[in-house]
Amino acid sequence: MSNLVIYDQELADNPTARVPICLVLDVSGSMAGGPINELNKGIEAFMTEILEDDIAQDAADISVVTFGTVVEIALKFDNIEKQVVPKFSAGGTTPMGAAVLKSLEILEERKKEYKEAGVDYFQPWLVLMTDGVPTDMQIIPSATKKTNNLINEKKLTLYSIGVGNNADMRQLSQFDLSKPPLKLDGLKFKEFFEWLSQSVSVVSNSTPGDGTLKMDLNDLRGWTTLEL
Amino acid sequence: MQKYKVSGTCVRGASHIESNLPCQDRVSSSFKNNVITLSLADGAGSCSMSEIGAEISTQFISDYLCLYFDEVFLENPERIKEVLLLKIRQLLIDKSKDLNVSLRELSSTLLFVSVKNGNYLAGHIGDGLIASYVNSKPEVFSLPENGEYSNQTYFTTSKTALDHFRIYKGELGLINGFVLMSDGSYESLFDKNKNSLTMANETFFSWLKDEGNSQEKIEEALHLNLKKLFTKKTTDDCSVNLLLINHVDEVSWYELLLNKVRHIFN
Repeated sequence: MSNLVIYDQELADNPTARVPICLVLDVSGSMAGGPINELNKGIEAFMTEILEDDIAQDAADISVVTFGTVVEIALKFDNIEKQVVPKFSAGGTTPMGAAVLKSLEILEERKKEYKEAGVDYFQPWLVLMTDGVPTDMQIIPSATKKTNNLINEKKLTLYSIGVGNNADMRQLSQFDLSKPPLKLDGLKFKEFFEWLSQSVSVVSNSTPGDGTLKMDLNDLRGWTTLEL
Repeated sequence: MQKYKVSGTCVRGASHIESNLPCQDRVSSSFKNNVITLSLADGAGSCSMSEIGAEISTQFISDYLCLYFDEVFLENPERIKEVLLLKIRQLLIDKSKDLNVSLRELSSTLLFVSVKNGNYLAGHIGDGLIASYVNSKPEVFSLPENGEYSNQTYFTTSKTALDHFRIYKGELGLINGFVLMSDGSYESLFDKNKNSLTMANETFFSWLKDEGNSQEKIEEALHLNLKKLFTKKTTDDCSVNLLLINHVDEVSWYELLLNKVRHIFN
């Protein structure tokens, strides 16, 4: 046995590189009943799955912006172990444009905080889920312009998910012109969030050269109804 | 004149074990014509044969600089990186044709240091870090170059590789060693909060300086320690390549001879 030994205290204890994720969730009146209940269960499952993954729990940095009666930051970025996700209730209209702009704002602020603290980070994710049509159409053009600019500059990964038959998929497609929005199969929120947590794990394990996460279409079959 | 001691190793990371990928880091060293060259390359994670690209790049640079150190050293850094990158790229292109894969599949970073007669020549593309030992104290020599995001860097095969290939040359002066580290090892050997190299860098160097430690013994110890500790701090492969330069005082040899002559005549 060699006597040449390094001790842990001789090594750095650098923070894990973060994956900033903002969930932008529709909690408008039309989500009342089954959809909002399933959304609540899905978010709960998402947080649990992340916590059960050794690497993802250190890497995932999650916030939630809801839009309904008002646009609000329902969950601020924080250590996931300290975060308590509120139970969402449905009500109000669908100010989707304002919600997307708010989420971009907090993602940008979070990146500044990482830079100041010397924490490495991956490309931010924005997950937009809605069952309806935006009611703030005057804001939509500036929101879609911003998201597409960021996507083109490889500064944002955006997943747009439509829920139910009334989701305006055409409008959703405007937020990311590089790929089509996906439609949730029924109320499979739980399956979607399981997929999302696995994707966080994949990205937090990625190394230079891996590039941005490519969606494996087979992996999507568990929760989307799109023809693949 | 100088005497040298080198030690290097590579360890497979957890994510590579889980994905059934080989270790994609490579280290190499060569000593010929009174030139010592050591190199390290980290193959790109998503590229299926990047360990082959890393092997080609490290082997080439180690062998080439041992043969042509003087000629290369005389050129300016712009010309040096053009020549070296062109030769590496040609080898990679040839290999990609043999293997019937795209050039991208052979992507890797590259770090190297070459020393002859009190002069050094070093180069760096991508992440990882080169540290020098100045009077045996580790100092940052060349920092990693990443993109904005954690999983972005530059490779020998990148379109902009030439713009990101950093060449350093000069006199050793008080430098008596170097360490090349991959980004996996960087997580253990560089403290990002303090922006400084960790104590382990000094410990490694003390192993090299101890004349009782052979190259094989140090390499075995490096491997064990990297496997046991470094791979707990990253899921990536980890590698290091170390060089000790013993500056042998030529004047003292001359004086020794003179003293002997004086002794004979007395």
